[in-house]
Amino acid sequence: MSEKNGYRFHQKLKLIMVLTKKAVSYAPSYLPMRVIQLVLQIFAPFLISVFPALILDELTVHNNLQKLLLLTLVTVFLGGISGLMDYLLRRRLSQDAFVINQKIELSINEAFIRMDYEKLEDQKVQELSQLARDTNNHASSLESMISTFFSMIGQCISLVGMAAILSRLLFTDGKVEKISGVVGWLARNSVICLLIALALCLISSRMNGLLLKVYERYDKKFAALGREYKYYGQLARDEIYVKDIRTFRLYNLINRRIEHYCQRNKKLMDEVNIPEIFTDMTGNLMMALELVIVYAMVSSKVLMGVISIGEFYLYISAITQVISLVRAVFENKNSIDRCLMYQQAYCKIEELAEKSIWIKEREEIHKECGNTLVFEHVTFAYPGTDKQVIDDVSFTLHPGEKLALVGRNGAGKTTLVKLMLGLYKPQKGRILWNGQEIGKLPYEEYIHNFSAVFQDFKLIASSIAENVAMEEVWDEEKVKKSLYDAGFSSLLASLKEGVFTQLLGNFNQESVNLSGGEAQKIAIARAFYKEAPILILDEPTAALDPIAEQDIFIVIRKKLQGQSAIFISHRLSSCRICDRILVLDNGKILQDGSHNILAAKNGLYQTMWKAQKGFYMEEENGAKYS
Amino acid sequence: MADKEKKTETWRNVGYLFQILKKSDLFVFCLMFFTLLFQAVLPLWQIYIPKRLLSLLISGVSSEKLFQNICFVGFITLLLQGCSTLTKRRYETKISLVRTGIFRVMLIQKLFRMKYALFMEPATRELTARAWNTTWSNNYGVEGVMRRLMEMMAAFLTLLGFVGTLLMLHPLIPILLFLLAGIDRKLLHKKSEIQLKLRKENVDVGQRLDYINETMQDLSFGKEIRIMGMGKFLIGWHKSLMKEKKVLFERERTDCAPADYLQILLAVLREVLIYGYLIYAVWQKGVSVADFSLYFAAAMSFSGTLNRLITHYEAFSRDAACIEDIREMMALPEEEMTELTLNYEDFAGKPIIFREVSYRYPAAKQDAVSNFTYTFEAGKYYALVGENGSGKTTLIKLVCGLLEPDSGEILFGEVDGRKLSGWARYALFGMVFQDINLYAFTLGENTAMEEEYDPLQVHSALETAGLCVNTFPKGLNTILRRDFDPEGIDLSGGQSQCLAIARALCREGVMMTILDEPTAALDPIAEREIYNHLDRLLQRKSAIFISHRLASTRFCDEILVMQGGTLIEEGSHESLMALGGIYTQMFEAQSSFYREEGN
Repeated sequence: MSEKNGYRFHQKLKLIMVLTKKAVSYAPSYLPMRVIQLVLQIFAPFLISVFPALILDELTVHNNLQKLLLLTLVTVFLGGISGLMDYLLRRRLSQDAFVINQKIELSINEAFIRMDYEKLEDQKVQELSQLARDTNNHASSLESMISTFFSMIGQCISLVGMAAILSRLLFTDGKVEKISGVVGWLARNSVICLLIALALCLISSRMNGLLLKVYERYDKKFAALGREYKYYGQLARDEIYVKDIRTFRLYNLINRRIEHYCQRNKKLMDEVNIPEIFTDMTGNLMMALELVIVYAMVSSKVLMGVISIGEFYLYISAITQVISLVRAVFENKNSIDRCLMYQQAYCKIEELAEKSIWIKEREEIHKECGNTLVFEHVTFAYPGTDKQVIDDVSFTLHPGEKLALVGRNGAGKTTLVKLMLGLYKPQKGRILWNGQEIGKLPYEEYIHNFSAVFQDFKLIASSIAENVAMEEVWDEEKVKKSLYDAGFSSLLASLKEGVFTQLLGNFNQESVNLSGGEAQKIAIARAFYKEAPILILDEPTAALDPIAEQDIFIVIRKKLQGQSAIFISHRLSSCRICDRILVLDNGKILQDGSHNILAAKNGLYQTMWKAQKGFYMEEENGAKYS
Repeated sequence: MADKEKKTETWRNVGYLFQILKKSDLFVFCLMFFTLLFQAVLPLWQIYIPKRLLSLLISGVSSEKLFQNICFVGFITLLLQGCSTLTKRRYETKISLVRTGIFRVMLIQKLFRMKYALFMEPATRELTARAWNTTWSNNYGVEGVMRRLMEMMAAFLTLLGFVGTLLMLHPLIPILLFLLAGIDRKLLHKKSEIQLKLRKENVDVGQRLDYINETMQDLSFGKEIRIMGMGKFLIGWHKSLMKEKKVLFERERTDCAPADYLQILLAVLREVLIYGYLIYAVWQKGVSVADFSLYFAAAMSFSGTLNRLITHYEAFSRDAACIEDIREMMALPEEEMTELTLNYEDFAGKPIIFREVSYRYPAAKQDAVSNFTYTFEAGKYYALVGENGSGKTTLIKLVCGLLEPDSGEILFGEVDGRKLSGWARYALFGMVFQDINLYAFTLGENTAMEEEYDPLQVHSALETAGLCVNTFPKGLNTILRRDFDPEGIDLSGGQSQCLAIARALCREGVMMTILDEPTAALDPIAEREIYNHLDRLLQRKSAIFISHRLASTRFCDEILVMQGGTLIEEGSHESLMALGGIYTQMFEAQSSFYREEGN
């Protein structure tokens, strides 16, 4: 992501404020607790370095027992209180952090759902989706960014306090007797020394910032390599590849690829080590120089008699704290910058979700009866391609009509259905639902009228009932009926837990693995459960045996009395239950009519029908095919 | 007792790890040693610095000598820091490469060599998933062990240094500090026990939340999410899970509270001890300021370092326990991979004979194939039909060698199937499976399933199977799928099917071709093309077809009807129709739709 992080400081601040507000809306107790923790953080550096040094000073120089005991008590007491508060807050904060992160992730995912379907195939969106998946590590999560921001504020305030303490050390510059040599110079110019030390610290912080930019450049390459290796791992582990790998000796090819990957990976990792080590070394050098300067400066003050030996320790501690605070502030800044980079990606996702190819203002959907779908001169090519997959198609789907879409592979059948379901937008022409253009209708209400089972249907790792109903609260009778209609009941009876049986073994739970055909039945049951006016089935019985297939067709014919249905199938037998058949070829409607008419006419349909029928009908074809 | 066992387990696992490393990469040990050395020494040096300089100041040394010393100190610090950061970076890179380059590769190789039946068993799947997880992350598992081991030993050495320092002050001090740390640890354990009780529920909720997030981000779920209400369902599920999680958090908070308070009390006690004794030491025993700073720093860092050591150790033993999974997995039996160069001519024209073959899947109640006896003659086409679950797929797997019969024998000519295992057996068959997998490799590689292939052979196989290579701009070098190449091509269902058939055609020395639903994704015209040219495709080698579309049975020489694992009907299409049994029933069912009279 070498796009420049074009945010300026005030923009960054604004973004952080906006995001903080969002976070607080997810967890109201978050803000007050962060503030309390902030107060604790401000005092922490003092507790660690200043108080002990004061005790030491008191001990060795002034010997005031009362003051000593008081100091000790205060130190220990404050330490205890802050520890207590820290414990109390930590749990609450981590709980809030979890809630905030989850809700943010959910809102991002909702953005993916709102996005136009066609965007899902865009390389950029896929990268963003991969990024969203990868940044599950909470270092870049929203909440940790806010907590880092608060830390930064705390550190700045601590710095002010520390500066106050150091003032006594530094403001005795002029009061020193004129002594020559290095000692004198150092004692007189302590402010300059401190500034030099801070400058060195800033140099190393800057180097760290640059290193992060280097990481950005490498991130993409590593991510690509990571995806590649993940793929090879999947090939080795997933059941679906197991047969190929053995029977085709595919493992040879994969092994070679892995070897190649390992070489590239090693090269890249060694490469990225170079700037890392260089930055490290610079940082070490700066730290060593700081060390020398600070010790020299404070020692000279001691030699000059400006401060006591007891105070030596105090000021060394204080300056060390200052330097580490400054370093921490810059690290935090860098880390926030990095988080912002991810937040930018999230914002981009939201942007893409809002930027729809459909118009914003939606009309109200007419709730009249009669569910008529009309295609008017629709032409469509997939985004980024020229080939017109649908070419000037017009037809009407009447309520209660059973329509079959047939054609050769690539004729445009599935595309037609996707257009119908509002997944893509036609380049030319309109699609009308009860007279209204579907692009102008509220999508959720429109799609309510459709049930679809595609070839690449998906089941989720939940119970059978939930997979069918797609609801958390479902109607048991209805679920069972839908499964029965889909031909699943005999298998259902054999399952111990019935409709509560868990599918897919994602969680450490008892689950059942269904065959292709059985899974297909659940997808069909899902479509039945929805009871939508229009049912769309794309190759619904490809994985089923002939008896099961026949059963489904019978059910569909019986059940879908008032509903319209659209079938896509290569098994032209399904056309027999349809009232009407549309024959598509190269995106155009070639033929339109009932089976009897089309089978009698010379044309594509007749050719296909005879081809398939020929296998079954001995009388027509005599000798078997050889 | 269980604890002690666990300890020896831990170190045995580490030993196993080292053995594997020894074989492949000795340098990592060297690197680990130096890294931990510098990591250990650095904190000790850092607490020594103020003491050294303070002592010099107190003793009233000249300013030149003082500054010389300061520069010297700076130089040594630079040296130590430099070596420390250098070794740490290289070590981290090294162990990451070890994880991905050695261990993961090892597991992948093992997965390739595992027997099919073993691979498919749920227990094995679980084991491999666990073993795989140990090689997944930078911070846990294999890399975690290496990292923690180094940090642990460094912390241990540093701690020794602190103890040594504090012993000079008073022997009781380190003992008391250890004691307090021990009590602290006990409290921590109590809290972990509480967390452990809730762990299962936490993990369950966490896994489900992760799953929901992943699914919503998975673009291939796009249609279901939008059209079938899956989006709403997932969001609702997410919300209920968050409610559950909230309850779990509350429980953890209230249950852990007493332990939390006690820990704080302990911390206060520790500070009182340290301050108290040190003040006493300076006051009464004349410990110098310089030494005060040294002891103070040592005492303050002591508990932190000890805590770190124990935390690293606990993480280390947790990660080391995971190595057990790797060991278990590597101990699983393997397939015979040696490529016996068979003389394929010996097998040409020979039949494949099944004698009383039975097979039952693990944990199944009945045989999937039961007492199957049949002879598959060379050069004949066979159709295998039956309902789902009748044993057709199992039979196929037995023939080609993915599964081994529980009883009975399979002969290839005169050779017993048991003598032919692994690749030697697989090479006899050309497979067209029902699920067609396309891989993110080139078209040529996807067909030949090899990196090096004869382009002419592959080209002609594809053409014969009906896929025109010239429609692809880069021909055989076209990359399929868009996983890694945005310009990759996705083949349509029909094209994939042609590719699958071409894969089988690329086989040399094939005794039999097995086709499982070879035309399911093809339109009727393409399907007929395939069946019309079967002889050309199969070159009259024997073939077994499984298809739900009984269309394929019309041109097969023999049809086998399976039910419940047994062969119930066999014969040609005509003879079976004459029989009027199951086959007739199935045929009637399908063809009914094609009859003019309608249904």
